Formats: sequence, C-alpha cells, structure tokens
Amino acid sequence: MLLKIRTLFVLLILCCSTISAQNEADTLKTQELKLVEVRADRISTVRTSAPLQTLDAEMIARTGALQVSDAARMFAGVQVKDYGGVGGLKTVSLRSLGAAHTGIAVDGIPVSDYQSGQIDLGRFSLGNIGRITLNIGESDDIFQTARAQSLAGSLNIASRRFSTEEAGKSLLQASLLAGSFGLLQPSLTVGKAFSRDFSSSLSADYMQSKGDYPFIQTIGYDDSQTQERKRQNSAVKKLNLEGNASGRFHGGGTLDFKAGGLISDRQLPGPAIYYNDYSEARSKDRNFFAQTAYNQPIDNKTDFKANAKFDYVSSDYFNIRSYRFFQREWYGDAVFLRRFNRHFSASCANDLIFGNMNGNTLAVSPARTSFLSAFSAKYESGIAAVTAKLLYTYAGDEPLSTSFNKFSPYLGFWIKPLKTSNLRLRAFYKNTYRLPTLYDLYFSTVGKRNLKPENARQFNLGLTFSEQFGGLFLSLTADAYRNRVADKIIAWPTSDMNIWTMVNVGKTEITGLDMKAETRFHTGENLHWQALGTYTFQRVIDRTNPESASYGKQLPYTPVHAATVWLGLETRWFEVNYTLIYSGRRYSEASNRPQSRMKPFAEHGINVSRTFSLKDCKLAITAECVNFTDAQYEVVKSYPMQGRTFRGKIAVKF
Amino acid sequence: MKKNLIIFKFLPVIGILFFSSCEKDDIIDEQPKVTPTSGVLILNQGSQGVNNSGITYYDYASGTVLDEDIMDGRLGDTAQDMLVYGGKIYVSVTKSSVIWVLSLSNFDELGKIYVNDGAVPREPNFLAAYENKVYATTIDGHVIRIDTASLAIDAITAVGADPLGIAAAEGKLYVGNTNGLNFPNFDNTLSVIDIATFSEVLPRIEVGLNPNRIKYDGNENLYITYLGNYADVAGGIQKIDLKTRTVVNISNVPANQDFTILNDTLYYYGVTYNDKGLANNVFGRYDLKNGRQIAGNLISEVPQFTTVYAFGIDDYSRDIYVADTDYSNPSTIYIFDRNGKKKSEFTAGINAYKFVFI
Repeated sequence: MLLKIRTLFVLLILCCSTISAQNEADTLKTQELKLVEVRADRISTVRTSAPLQTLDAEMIARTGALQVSDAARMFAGVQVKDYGGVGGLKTVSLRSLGAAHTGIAVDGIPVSDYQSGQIDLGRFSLGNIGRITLNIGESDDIFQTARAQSLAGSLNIASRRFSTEEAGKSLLQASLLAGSFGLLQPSLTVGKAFSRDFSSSLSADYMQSKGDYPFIQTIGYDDSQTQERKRQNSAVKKLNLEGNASGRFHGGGTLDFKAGGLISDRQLPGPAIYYNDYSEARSKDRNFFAQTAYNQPIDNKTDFKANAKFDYVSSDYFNIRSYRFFQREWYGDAVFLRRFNRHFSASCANDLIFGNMNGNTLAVSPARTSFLSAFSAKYESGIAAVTAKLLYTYAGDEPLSTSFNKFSPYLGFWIKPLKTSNLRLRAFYKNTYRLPTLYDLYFSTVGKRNLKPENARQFNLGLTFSEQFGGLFLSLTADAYRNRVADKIIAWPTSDMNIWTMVNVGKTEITGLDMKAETRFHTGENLHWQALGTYTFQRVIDRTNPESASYGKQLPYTPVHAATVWLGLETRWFEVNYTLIYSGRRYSEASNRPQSRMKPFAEHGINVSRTFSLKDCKLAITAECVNFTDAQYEVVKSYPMQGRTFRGKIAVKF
Repeated sequence: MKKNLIIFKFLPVIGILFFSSCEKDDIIDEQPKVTPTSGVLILNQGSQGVNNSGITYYDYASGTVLDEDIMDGRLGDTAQDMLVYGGKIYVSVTKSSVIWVLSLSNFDELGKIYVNDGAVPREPNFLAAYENKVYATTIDGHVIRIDTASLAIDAITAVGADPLGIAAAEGKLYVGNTNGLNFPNFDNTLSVIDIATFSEVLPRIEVGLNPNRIKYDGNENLYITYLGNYADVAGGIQKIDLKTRTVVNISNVPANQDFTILNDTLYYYGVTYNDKGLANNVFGRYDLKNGRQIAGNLISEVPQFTTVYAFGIDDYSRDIYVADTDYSNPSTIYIFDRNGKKKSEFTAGINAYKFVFI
C-alpha cells in the first residue's frame, strides 16, 4: 500500500515542480496544523483550496441560533430548506446541489439516511456544541475518513471538548431558555478533565415548543385577500443526550468515545392548506449512536487513525396510519498518514459500511454494504498548497444484488502570488456521486430498478484575503463556481397516471458566486466590533428536457440573490448582536410561472446579553427578538415561517 | 495556461451578475372579468400542498384561453371533480375540504360549502347530481347530499372505506369503495344508496379490485373501471346490468385510465404495454348497443404524451380533448376533431384533470 502512495506521490511532485521551485522558508509545520485540528481554536478559512466556513459556539450563540439549521443559514452558498417552526424538517443543500449531496457529520463521522438520503438538521442540538464547520468541495485535511470525501461537501458538527491546558478543571454549564409559543429549553452539561490525559463530559438538552404561531396567508394570486391563521398541530418535545470521554496514552495515542441519542416526538402541521387547518400527522423519532476515534502516531512521520460507529434510527410517522422505519448502520475506517518531508504528505483511508432498513409497510428489508477507499496527497508551503485525492466507492445491495463502482477525483490548490500581501488564489475541481438510497431502489418505483448514481461536478475559483491592519482585522473571500448535476434521481410519471417510477433524468447547471467578509476592530478600549457578511448569487438552471416549460428556468425555491449580515458589539457592560437573513425572489414552480413567485424576505434579529462574573462562576442573561419586523414569509410554499418571536435565556457556567 | 481557461469558464458569472440587476419584474396579467358563452372549463388539480388548484376557461369562438384561472388562485388544494348542474358549477376540492358553487352565467361565487365533521375535514372526492341534489363521496367513508337551492349539506350517509367514484341512476347512487388509504388491501365493492331514503341498501355489488370511475349509460347499465393493486392484479373495465346486478368484464377494451359515454358510444383512453414493457397510449371507441369495438383509431397520430391526465369529448362537436401533464409544469391541452386529426393545443394549469363543456 505504501508503495502505491509513493507512486502517486512521485506523480504529484512532477505536477507541482514549478510551484515547489519557489519554496519559502516560512512554511507551516504539519505538527502545528495537527494541533489546530485537534484544538480547533481558530481555523484558517483563507488558507484552503476549497471554501471553508466555520462558526464556533460563541458565534453561534451570538447569531441567536436556536438550532443547527439557524447557524447553517449564516454560511455563504448554503440553502436551508426550512418547513417552519421548531419541529419542521430542515435540510441543507450546498450550492444547489441538493440535500442528498451534502454530508452531515458529527465529530467527523458522517450520518446517513437510507430513506430519503437527506438528513434533518433538527435531529442535532446545540447543547454541547464546539463548532460547526462547512466544507464546500473538500477539506485540505487529508487525515480524514474516505466517507467524508464522498459527497459534494459537508457540514460538520463538533462537540466541545477539553484542551490539555484545562487539566484538573471541571465544567458545569446550565441554561434555561424560554420563548414565545411555548418554547422552553433547559440544557445541562457537566464535565471534568481528570488529568491532562483523561476527560469526560455529559450533556442533556431538552426542548419543547407548542409552535402555535400566527401567520398571515395570502389567498389567491393577488394580495387583496389575506387571512390571519395560526399554525395547528405543531408541538414538539425533543431530548438530546450525549456523553464524551477522551483519553491520551503514553505513546501519544488518543482515544475518544462518544455516545448519545435523541428522543423526539413531533406533531406535523403539514402545509397550510386553504380553508382547512386540520392535521393529525405526527412523528416519533429515536436515535442512538456510539462512536469512537483512535489516533496513534506510529513514528514521527506516520500517523494512524481508526474510527468506528454504530447508529440506530427509528421513525414512526403517523398520518391516518402508521409508517415505521428502522435503520441500522455499522461503520469502521482506518487512515494512515505519512509525512515525507515538511512539504509533502500522503494518506490512505479505507472505510467499510454496512447498513440495513426495514419497516412495517415495506415488503423487503434491503441492506447495503459499501467500501470506500481514498488516496490523498498534499504539498504545502508558505506560498502554495496542492491537494489531490482519489476516492473509490463500491456499494452492493441485497436482495437485488445491484452494485455501484465509482471513482471520484478531487484536485485543489491555493497560491499566494505576492510576498507582501495575504492575497491567495484558490481553485478546486471535484466529481462526486450520490448513490440511490435503498428507498429509491426498493420502494418508490414499480418495474425496473436500474438507477445510476447522481453525478455532481464542481469547479470553483476563488480569491481570499486576510490581514491585520493595526487594530483592524479583515478577511475577505470570493468564490465563483460552475456546477453540474446530471442523472438526477427523480420520481417521474409514467403513461399510466396511477403509476410513478424513479429515473435518472434531471440535469442542472449551476453558476454562482459566494462572497464573505469578516472584520473585527475596536473603537476605544471598551467597544469591540465584529461583523460578518455573506452574499450568494446563484443561477440554477434546469437542463433536463428542452421541450419542457421548465427548461432553462431557475430551479424552484432557489433565490438568485441571498445575503446574511451579522454585527456584534461587545462593551464592558453588555453585548449586542444583530442578524439579517435576506433571500431574493424565487419560484415554487419549475416553470417559474408568475403565480408561483415567492416574494423576497428579510428576517432581522437582535439580542442583548450581559455577563456577570462571581469568582469562578459566570452568569449570562440574554434577551432576544427574532424576526422583529414580523416578516411573513415561506421558504417552502405553504409552510409559513415563524413571525416575531421573543426569547430570554439565563446561563450559568462554573 | 490552464488558469486562463478556468477564468474563461467564470466569465458568464460576471456577465450574469451584471445583467441580473436590470432584471425586470414579471407581472401577473390582470385579466378582465370573463362572461362565458360557449367553451370548455378545465379543472386543474394543481400540486398537492401548494394551494394551486384552478379552473381554466377556453373559449370556442376565439379559440383562446380567456381566463387562465377563473378563481384567481383561490380554489384551494387538490381539486378533484367539477360538474355543471342547474346553471351552477360545483367543484370539489379534496385537501381544502370544500365544495365551491359558481354561477355558470358569470362565474360568480354563489357558495363555498365546508365539508367537515366537527373540526375534521371529510375531504370530498367525486360528484354526481340527481333531482335537485348534488352528491359527493368523501374520503372519510360517506356520501354527502347538497341541496341545490340552499347550497348546504342537508344529509350524510355512510358507505364503505375511502369511496371515490359515484354515479346516479334510476333512483340509486352507486359508489365505489376503494379502501385506498389502507393499501395494498384494496376494496372491490360498490355501495348502493337508495336516493329516497338516502341510506345504503345491502348487499354491496362485487366488482374489480380498487374501483375508480363509474358512469351510467342511461340504459340501466353502469360502466366502471378498476385499477387493481398496481402489482399482480391488473385493472380493467366492467359492465354492470342494474336489473340483474350481473357484472361482466369487457376484456377487449383497454379503458383502464378514463372514459366518457355519449349516446351509445363509450370513448376511452387506456395504457397498454408491449412485450418489451414499453407503454402505449390507446384511444378508442366501443359500441355499447352491440358490445363491439368500433374499428379505427380515435386519434390518428398520437403525440408523445408524458402522462395523459384528463380525457373528454365535447358532446356537441365531438371534438376530443386530451390533457398531458408532467406533474410539475402547466398541462398541455390537445384538441382533436371528430376524425382524430389534431386541431390545436394550448396551456392550462398544473395537472389538468377534468373537462366540462359548457
């Protein structure tokens, strides 16, 4: 295997010989990089070949996010499909590639869904969050699982953990949040770093909401007739539990263990249908998972890492009758990383996944075995970096004995052309496949099931800049991209109006631009300002069938223009934050008929907090108002979003 | 060199950015109030959950769509059936659980009947009319009766599970019980309701699995289609002699999608499959008097349809109307003359489901 890595490496060296000729001395040591990874204190978002965005726990709190989906909305190039309310389905799609192309990972290990292929972000909690990181394309980190490379990008939710400096410390964090429409969220985290080598924590996060918020619905195509209504059957009760333990061995190895679960009971209001408020749909979801990560440096040039995970999901969806689904997944992976010198490193990751599903309405219980193998190589100096990866995916399904074999390449680089400026140029290409889900293959279709994987190609070209000008920090990124999704798996009508089938027909062409600006500065000693702004431009064009009315039209629910703004001010006495989410006009229908136009919306939020310190104890009181202009809008047609909402939070930390 | 190429790829982005700022707002055409003369009303089911059902009015004289939606988007969610009776238009909208009553002479709203059981919607399906009453099957296992003078529900009676099709004939209502919400355990019976007492008369008539459309020929025969279970039991069409209650399969007529009876002719539309499993749209005529297929194709050159979602015959001109849908874009309506030659085509709403000729 090492021999293979070497061959790959020689090839890469040849490719980059021109760049390596300009080597500079100020290179970043890989050792340092590793530290950044593990400690995750501040991640560089400009020294990457593919866009990387991150929000740490403090920032997440300051943007007023209640759930992971609220935080995800702050990223550029991201669309959160939100069905409204606390309990409404929330999925995330990167650069309009579709939610099924976007990986969601917990501490680096992706989560999967065999039914829809997309993950409801509502399943996770912010209770013990460390940070949320969004990778579009690929991370420059090559010491990662093969599976993390198998999708077009991924959102990683990382738990808070103790650093080695915190040895002997204990942590107690308790908070209580209450808000409009019956929202109540008590949260508790206790932890202890017993020594430099062993720490553990436990956290529980409970949330309940009545969700009976009012909304104004326009009846008909003109605005002349509106109706004041209230969301019905919208209550949620949800408990997330999580335990973490981390140990360090004398040889430098580390072992992290995490186990947790979710108990969630939701009423589902469904679409706001004209003249009919009634819904009795509900969903009971249960999740249990246990995962472990073992890291071991073998010598000063070689690192080894192994992950294992078991994940169990059950859902009981009731609407007139009960539909129960069960899903289990076993996962294991091993990664080797070798540093050849301070510039070159290469890795090899192999993953094995076994999963199955069954349900009370399903005639068969299909299972899938997947094997993923990734070879990666990286060259990095102070002025340039190149990352190349090749992923091989095999998946085989029973009982149909279908199988998939795919190669997914990635190539990304950044260069810093000027010695005196922190301006960097970056570019990447990535080709990934989204396999049909077990549900696509076995249950949603009549007749033949010869589905191919969906094919997504991404090209990205960007500029990044970051600089400290005296008291002012400024970071700017701009990325233009061209993506193509082909062989989209779509439920398609047949000649018989009573029978649908699943086919690979969709084609989408995406042209976009993501921009992000971040700044920090002071005015006087006691006024610390921070600002973050993103802008997303996207033309997402249907290229499926030239005969169709939707051909050449913007994909439904996809705004051409979207933006977010966050402004924060810290003073000695209090902290104020303002958040804006803006989305331009979009359409709910594929043919973009004027009747289906959805108006632009802007959601403004503000929060004020004050922290009191008493010896080792910190008490923080926050008051916030989300959507303070009471904007009435929908992200998904007929699923009204919550209007003006007040929340108060009290948190203590020892 | 390679870098240049990539930059070239991104030039369109800059271009689009520049032009998007000058993008003009597309405005929904304000349509003047339409007075119907002679034409066809097309009921558009819309897509479920987005409240986009509607009624398109196509005018014969001008050969154009005079009103894209006579309800201006207020009809509701998932319209299912429409009938004209006594100078009024009745429209059942299943998911909104209402039945609209409109004036045939100027399309004005005469009434909106909420079809609820307390707070729980009954969800009306198909409609039938008989002696100054309009009847609707409801998904919760009932038939409701609407008085055409007061435009209110004046009686309700229970039938089998999830009834769909309904036809009135000789003092009786015939209702197809599907048990469709409990698939794949479909029902295969018709409930018979005595109109005078407005209650079901047992026993039920056993028909094909999953009964769908029911129509009366005016000669004491009912014709019904059934869908089967979409797996091992196929669908078909049957004739029921109302005097003897005998059910006969009409096996040589592939009318598994929809049909219309005019005088003694049954016009049908069905889907057949060849040995390779490829679908074929079949449009034909069946002589009810002699029980024979009428030779020749109803449509001489069948266009490449995605899914035919509505089929109708104008009883005056005998023109043939076919709606083609792909479930996400506005439907295309094709008009063929009585000899099967294509006359014209136009666009209606999403999922055009029923033609009513006025």
